[in-house]
Amino acid sequence: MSDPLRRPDTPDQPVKSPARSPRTPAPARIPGSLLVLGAAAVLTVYGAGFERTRLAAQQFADESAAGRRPLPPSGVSEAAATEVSPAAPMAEPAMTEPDAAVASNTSAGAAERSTDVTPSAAAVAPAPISAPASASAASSGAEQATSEPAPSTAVVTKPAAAQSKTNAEAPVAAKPTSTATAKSTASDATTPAAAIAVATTPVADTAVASSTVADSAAAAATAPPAPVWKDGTYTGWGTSRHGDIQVTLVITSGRIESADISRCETRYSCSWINHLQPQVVKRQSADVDYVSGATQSANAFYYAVLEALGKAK
Amino acid sequence: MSATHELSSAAMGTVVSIQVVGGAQRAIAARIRGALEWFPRVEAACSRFRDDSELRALCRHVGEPVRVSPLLFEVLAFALAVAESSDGAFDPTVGAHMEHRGFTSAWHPGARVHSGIAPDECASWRDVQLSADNQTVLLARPLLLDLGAVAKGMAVDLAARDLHDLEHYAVYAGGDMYLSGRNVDGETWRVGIRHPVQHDELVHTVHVSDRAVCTSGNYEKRTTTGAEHLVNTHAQPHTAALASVTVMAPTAMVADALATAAFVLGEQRGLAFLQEQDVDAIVVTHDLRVLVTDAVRHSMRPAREHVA
Repeated sequence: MSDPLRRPDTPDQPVKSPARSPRTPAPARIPGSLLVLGAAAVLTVYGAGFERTRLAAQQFADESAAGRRPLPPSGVSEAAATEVSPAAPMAEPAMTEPDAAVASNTSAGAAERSTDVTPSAAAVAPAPISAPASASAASSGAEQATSEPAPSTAVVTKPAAAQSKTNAEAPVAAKPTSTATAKSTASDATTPAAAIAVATTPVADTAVASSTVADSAAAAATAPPAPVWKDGTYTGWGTSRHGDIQVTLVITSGRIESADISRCETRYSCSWINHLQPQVVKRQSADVDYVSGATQSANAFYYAVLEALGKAK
Repeated sequence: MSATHELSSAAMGTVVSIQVVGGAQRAIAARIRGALEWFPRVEAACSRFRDDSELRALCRHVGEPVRVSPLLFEVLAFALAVAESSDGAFDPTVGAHMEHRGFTSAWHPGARVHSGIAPDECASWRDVQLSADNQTVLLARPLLLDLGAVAKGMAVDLAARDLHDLEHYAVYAGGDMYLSGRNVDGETWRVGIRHPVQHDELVHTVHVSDRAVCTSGNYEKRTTTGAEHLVNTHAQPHTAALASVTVMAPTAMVADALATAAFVLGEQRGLAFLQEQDVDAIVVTHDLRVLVTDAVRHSMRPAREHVA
């Protein structure tokens, strides 16, 4: 706003009934019609779930499939995948959830989940790790842990995926997992699972295969941008008027794999920004639960990421 | 209800967090992760700032129908409906203008990208033609779509839908949020509306349940040149301008889009528009008057916030 802003003197006035536009209302101007339209759109997309939204994920699949080419072609090993499952922390609790009654949730058992876990994790980490041994991934364990397979697992809880169960296409949707939440500290237990999942990488084929479903939209997604940053884990600090935020950035195959807040020293930390790990938090005194219009700390986050990226060049 | 579980993530250039009240910790954590997963998915489809997004791929095709995912299609269809309802005040084709003004990065951290699409003064939402039957989009002229406002809202809504059975939860994404049920104290959620100038202050606190709350204002994102990120390419600037618009609606996508549209429309037309769309709103005018709809007025706690 370039208009000069004065101090508030009248804090509260009711909205006056505004004059209607003199124009004849278009059909779309039925009062509240956008409310209905919006809700319908959300339900449509949600209902489409993974199965039909995969086009969006398609290009990512193609991309990562290309990135995995250096890997020795290994057959899809469900056995290996199943082994991964118990180590994946999410599989167990997810099954204990009272989800069965909910149409939107999967009834997928451990087997389905596990087969999904492996491909997703592999897809998440398109790094050309040529040694398929799980041990080799240990060094990068911290990085992989940040992109633990849990979110991908959760993705298959979409209704469409539930219908197609072990559908080989499922992993593709799990693609955009790049911003997995969990902090490395919290995911110590998941590290091995993630590492193993990455190393086994049995899904390259399925990912490629499902890309044949690609329509023109996917075909249009040509020329993936060249990686810019060096692989590794970097930190950066961002400052806002509310305090400082440290971000830990993980770069894999030249792309930002995850960017998570590793330290948060803002005043609002307790109310809206900080809880990075699965944990039970005690409520702390705050006047509000959330603030709308607040992006100060988000900006701090942004600049922290920029700083971290600077180190990755 | 004595405990809440909260997980945060980075997506769409901001911090996303989901809080669930009550429940067994491990199971809830898995659910939250699943819900958070919608954000990168929406970003992959709808980001203007990523070369590899489906939206950018779409913008590379002019004059031919392109089949798109349901996600992109629905977000785009809704954006066009808002554009029509607001006489183009909300226009998803302002992307090239935004880029021209320096908004080259926002969602994907650090990835400064240029689409190579020059701002076309003539391009408008009317140049985007959808075919619902074929799920295709045809761009009549070169333009860069920007679905920022609606896409983030859609992501919030999808995440919220994902947690629907949990009853008490909050999905928060950079100022846009959906609040379901009650907070950890068993009360309706309390949302502070940030003062557009005095950032440490709140202009209001509203109490909501099963509602999305989104605020649109130019204080949210600034480029180094100080350009404003809400652009109205079709109207004279600063006509009875607003400082911020907060909308409460059943979905975040609606709330965000309507707040953005009303903000661009300015005080008179913006308020009329919000009334027309039957949503609750808190509007801060350029001279910092705070206007609220009746329903909002009633939802406010008496003594402190409500100054009669």
